[in-house]
Amino acid sequence: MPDPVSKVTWDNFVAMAPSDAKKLGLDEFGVVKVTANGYTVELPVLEQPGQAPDTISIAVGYGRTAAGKVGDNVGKNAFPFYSFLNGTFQTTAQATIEATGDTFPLSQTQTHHSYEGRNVIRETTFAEYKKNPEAGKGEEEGEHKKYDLWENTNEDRIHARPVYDWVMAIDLNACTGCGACVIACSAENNVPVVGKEEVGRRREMHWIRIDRYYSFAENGTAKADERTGMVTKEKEIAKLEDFSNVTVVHQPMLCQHCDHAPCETVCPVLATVHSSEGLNQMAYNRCVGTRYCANNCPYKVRRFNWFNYWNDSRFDNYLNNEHTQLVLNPDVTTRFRGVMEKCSMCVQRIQAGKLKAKMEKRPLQDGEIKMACQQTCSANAIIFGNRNDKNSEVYKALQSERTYYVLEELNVQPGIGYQVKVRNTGTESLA
Amino acid sequence: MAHHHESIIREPLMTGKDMTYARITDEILLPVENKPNKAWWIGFIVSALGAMLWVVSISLTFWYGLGEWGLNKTVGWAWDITGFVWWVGIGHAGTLISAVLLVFSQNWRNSINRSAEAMTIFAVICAATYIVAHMGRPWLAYFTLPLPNQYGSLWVNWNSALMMDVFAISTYFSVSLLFWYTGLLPDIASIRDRAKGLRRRIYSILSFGWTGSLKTWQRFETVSLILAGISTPLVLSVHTIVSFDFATSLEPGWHTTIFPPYFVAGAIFSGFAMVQTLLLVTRKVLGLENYITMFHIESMNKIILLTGSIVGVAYITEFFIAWYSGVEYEQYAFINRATGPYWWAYWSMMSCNVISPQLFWSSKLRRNIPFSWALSIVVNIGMWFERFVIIVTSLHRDYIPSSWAMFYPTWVDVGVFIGSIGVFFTLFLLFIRVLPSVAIAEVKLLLKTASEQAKMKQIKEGHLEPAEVQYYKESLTKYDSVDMADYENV
Repeated sequence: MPDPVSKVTWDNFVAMAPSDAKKLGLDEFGVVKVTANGYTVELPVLEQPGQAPDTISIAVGYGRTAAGKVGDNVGKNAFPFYSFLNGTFQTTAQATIEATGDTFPLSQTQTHHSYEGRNVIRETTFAEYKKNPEAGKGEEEGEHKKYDLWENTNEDRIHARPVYDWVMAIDLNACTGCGACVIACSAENNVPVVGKEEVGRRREMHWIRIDRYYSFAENGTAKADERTGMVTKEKEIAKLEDFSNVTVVHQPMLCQHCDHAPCETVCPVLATVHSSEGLNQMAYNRCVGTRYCANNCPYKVRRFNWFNYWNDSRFDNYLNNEHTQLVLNPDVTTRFRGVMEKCSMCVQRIQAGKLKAKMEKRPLQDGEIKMACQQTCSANAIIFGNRNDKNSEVYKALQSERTYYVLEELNVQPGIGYQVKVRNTGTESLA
Repeated sequence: MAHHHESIIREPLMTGKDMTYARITDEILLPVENKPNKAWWIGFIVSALGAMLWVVSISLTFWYGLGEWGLNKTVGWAWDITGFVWWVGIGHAGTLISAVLLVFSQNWRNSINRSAEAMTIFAVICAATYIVAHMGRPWLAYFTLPLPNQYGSLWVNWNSALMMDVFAISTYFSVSLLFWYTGLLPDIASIRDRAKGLRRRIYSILSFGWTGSLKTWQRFETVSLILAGISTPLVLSVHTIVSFDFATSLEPGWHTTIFPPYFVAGAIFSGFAMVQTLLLVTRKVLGLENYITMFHIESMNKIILLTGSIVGVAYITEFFIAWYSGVEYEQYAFINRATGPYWWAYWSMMSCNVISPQLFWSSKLRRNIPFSWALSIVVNIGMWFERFVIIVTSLHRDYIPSSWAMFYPTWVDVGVFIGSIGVFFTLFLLFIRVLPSVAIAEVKLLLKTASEQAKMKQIKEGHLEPAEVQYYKESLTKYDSVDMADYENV
């Protein structure tokens, strides 16, 4: 589970302003010796935009010795840095830093941190939003035309969705980037925990992830994007010296269940196909593992089983252990090596919900089926439902003037609508 | 074959004095009928060690899974498909030489077609190993065939370029094998007729009862022409379909309509380079200088120059179109190729494929054997980088920046690739030991028309324009296998 901001897994680290790291001549992941309150730890440095210059921070809760398999000796204990003063714990102290010359690579699930001015992320300010609720949606030039190779008019749909059309709405305004959905999804869908080394090789298996992007206020020679007014392009960011004025945006990213799914057309064996309910499905037993689908996925949400995570002695995870295996969700199969997997829209929950309604001889109620990610989201940022039902919560959410679809210009017709993030900034209150 | 006289101004396709049909057979079968020399053994041992490395690397991959390679969630293909396309491309020269040049009556193909076709077959074998090895579950590779089944009649996906690939490659392999073997029949019969004991029995079976009667020859010619007709479109179609793997996708840097012609030109480019790599050495070691002459070397270098230039134009066109398209993802993909983290791969490709073949405008360099050999290696390094650039640098930074990643090969990736080269050379070295590396029957056709000897006879008979004779003599000066002293008094 990656840290919501740094996207580091497994270890804690010394977060430092990039300008400080430069000043001290420290490379990222270089190990430093931190001494404060008479206690010393050695941890790698992570350049953290937004960290106030001349300060460092270290997360507590690591370096445990009795946490069991998953937690023992992960990271270093930072609690002894606390001091007790006037009846309260002081979490700050004067610290000295000394480079050791070692390096300790951290495994991050995301290593590129800016969105390059791309309209994957769309945001606006409250002032703009008040003037025009569609501000930031980026559709000033009108709707994208939809093209189709096949006859696909509403009256005569070849790929009809007679009853259900499962879709999602995700509100970027509500999402706090906490990542609870990632945990919920992994638990629900038996997503393997692959370990630090494999994450370092960029092979985490998460079906849903929270993309976190930094953008910076214009300063010095760095040029802001026209669209966003913020510095987001790699080459411009390189010109920045001060990284303290940073803005963060979080975007939950998962299979978009595209109606024109690019993954489906390229699979040689039809292992990934569309259901009549608008889901993009994986037939694990049919998959031969060419990974063409993952290459052709513009959202890069498909995950490949590089190894036999549940039956390979080199992976010591809960899937492998006779007793911990019992926590697996019996409704979801584990996947063999060489097979592609990805968000299934909790298809097991959809099936269970439909069956329940059928046995009770009643129509399925809106909101009766909840996705694991949705259920866990404390901010209610994720709404799932049937787009065919005009009264459903998701249908209404998607009618919002803030709704946009990521990469809709590719005409892949994604099933997940995002709502523009509105920030209450850019007004005098900030000055 | 009528013994017509070929125009004197055409350069000879075969050199040497006192050449007879018997001598041609003797010379070409020398490596087949004798014990191998030291050079062969050294080459064979090195190649076989490479092949062993391949076996080890592939076994490890099959045992543990594709995680043994350096691939990740963002870069799903890297050295595997790079290697696949590289090998398929190399194969193309063989088919071009054997089929297209036959259809166009380019007789100079007769001396090089056998080895070039063998190269095609071995290269396609190497490519096919990648198709199977890159699958997550290679034991289910038969799922890609439209076999009748009981899964509720589950068929393959004809929309997928990979599916077309399966058919393109298997058709290509079968037709190439058939063509190669048909051409071999009279030569195998020659070996049979000269062999004794068990060897005779084996070659007898392999020769399919070739009798050498007029009717057999007539049928042989017809079949060759028909197979050439079938193979000719394959030269264009196979790599076109390979390019569809990329062109029909959505990836910026892949999604381009220029790919089919660009890939075909690149394939011929790399294929001829590989033919040079193989034949310049084979010619020397097996003493085939009279058959594979400077004319052949220079002609192939001209093809390398032409196709290299086509590829160069394609690279530049891609950049122009990326800019012209106005699509930010496409534009970024190309700027990233040239200036991003993989800039070195891009510039290796540009210098090896676009700049270095331009040196072949100089006739001196075209006729310089060590230089041609070195450049043939450079071209194939460049062509490997071309596929690496297309595959890895497009994938590693596509639409969603959060997923951008780098690809780092493991030793298994490297082992599979180096190993595939070992497999290729092992097969090739075995081939030159058991089968004639030059098509005996076909070069014999040249003896009375296009050989240096026949032309000498023509000159001696007189009746030729002196200016044309002079022109012919001058053209001979480039041959390393012609003794110009013979022409002083003629």
